[in-house]
Amino acid sequence: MHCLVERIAQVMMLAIFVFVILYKFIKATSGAPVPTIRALPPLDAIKEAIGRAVEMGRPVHHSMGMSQLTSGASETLVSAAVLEYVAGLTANTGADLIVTIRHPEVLPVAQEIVRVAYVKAGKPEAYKPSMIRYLSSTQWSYVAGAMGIMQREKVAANILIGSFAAESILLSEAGNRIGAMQIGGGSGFGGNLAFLAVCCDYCLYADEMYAARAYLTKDPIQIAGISAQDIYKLFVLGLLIIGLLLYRYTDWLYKILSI
Amino acid sequence: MMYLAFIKSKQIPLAITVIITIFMLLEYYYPEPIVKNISKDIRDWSVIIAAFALGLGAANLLRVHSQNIQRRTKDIWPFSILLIFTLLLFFGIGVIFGIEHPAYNWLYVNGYLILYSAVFSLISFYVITSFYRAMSVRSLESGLLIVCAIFSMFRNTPAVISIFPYLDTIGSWLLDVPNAGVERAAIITTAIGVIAFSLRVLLGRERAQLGE
Repeated sequence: MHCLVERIAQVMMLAIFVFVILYKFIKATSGAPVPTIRALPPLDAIKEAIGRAVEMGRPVHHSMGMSQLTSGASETLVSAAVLEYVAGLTANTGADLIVTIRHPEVLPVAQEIVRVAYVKAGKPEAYKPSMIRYLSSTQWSYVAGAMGIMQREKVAANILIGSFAAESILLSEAGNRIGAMQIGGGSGFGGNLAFLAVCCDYCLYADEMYAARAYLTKDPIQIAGISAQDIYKLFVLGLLIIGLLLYRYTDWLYKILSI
Repeated sequence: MMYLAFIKSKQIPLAITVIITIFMLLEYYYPEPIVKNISKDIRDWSVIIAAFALGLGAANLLRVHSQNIQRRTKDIWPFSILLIFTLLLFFGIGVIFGIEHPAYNWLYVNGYLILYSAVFSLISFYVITSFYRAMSVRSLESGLLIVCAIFSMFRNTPAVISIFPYLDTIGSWLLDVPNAGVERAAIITTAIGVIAFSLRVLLGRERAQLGE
């Protein structure tokens, strides 16, 4: 019975969220003005990092993170969204791009994203499949391979957005040693945020990650989704406060009710 | 022509994504045998497809490293020869004798495992040293983090605590009050972010993975 009530409550919460998102999507589609997203310096810094790489004549490294598409997919997909932007910039500026992959199923996704970005930039001939490199499915073998690439090819920009655990400090330390400008980002579930916060020049924290594509594309429908997310956050905050008050004053409430 | 255009369009992968996401959600909220069986089949398929992707990974490795050898890429090509040789050796022995064969096992234990352990042990030290090297105060936030880390380290050092017992109280308070509060807030907001992101994928608004 308790389990059923819990499930119903979960479905109701999800239904409310879906309703808010759909409402915001419909409003944005009808041309209503959408709110602006506050500045996210790590995403703004990508342009600067790639510009610096072009000036130095050194490549840009983008890591797709350590999670798969079958588990921890959301962080990989955020990394894919950032890769789309990074590849567009490298295609336009002529910077060399190196994308390192841990899980092989992410490889065709990254290849397609980079290829399309180069085609969109009108430079399909500049796209080389060897830009996207599968290293190893094993955590430490991937790290050793990525560190080796970064140090041998002297990357000027190191973009580490996705799911990382202890390896985040090794990858960012390898970047520090060669003087790369580093942009990190993580949801915090992998315990990587503290490492990235101290080691990277810029870092996306927690739910900022999931606003990346909306921020980069400025797509009104995507921004409407972020706005819906904020409304839902306020709703959850309200529920938390109500729950806290009920918890704190339950005895007092019982006393009043019993009187 | 029209059919070909439809097959090549992004609508098919998008439809597959949406249908699979619906089944995964249904399995959680409506765990009846029929839904569970379909979801299990979908998960099995994802494992099979991921296994096929290993072939793509191997092809990518061969392509990148063959180019390195062909172009005699400075400082890299000898390692590329070693990589391709090892790849073919493991593949050949695995296919001819099977992965249970003593020869494959010998290579795995005496080659791969030893190297893996060596790299892993190096990395364990590197985590500590690189952490100290990389911890430069670049912003107010990273400065605060370092101060908290110092108190946390003191808290876990019995010699320091025996001399300055109040450091344990400060370290514990930092861990249990501000740290726990921020961590919970981050978990809640990130979870909401993940749900919103998943809903955008479900509604077909998040299409970066399709190369759009």
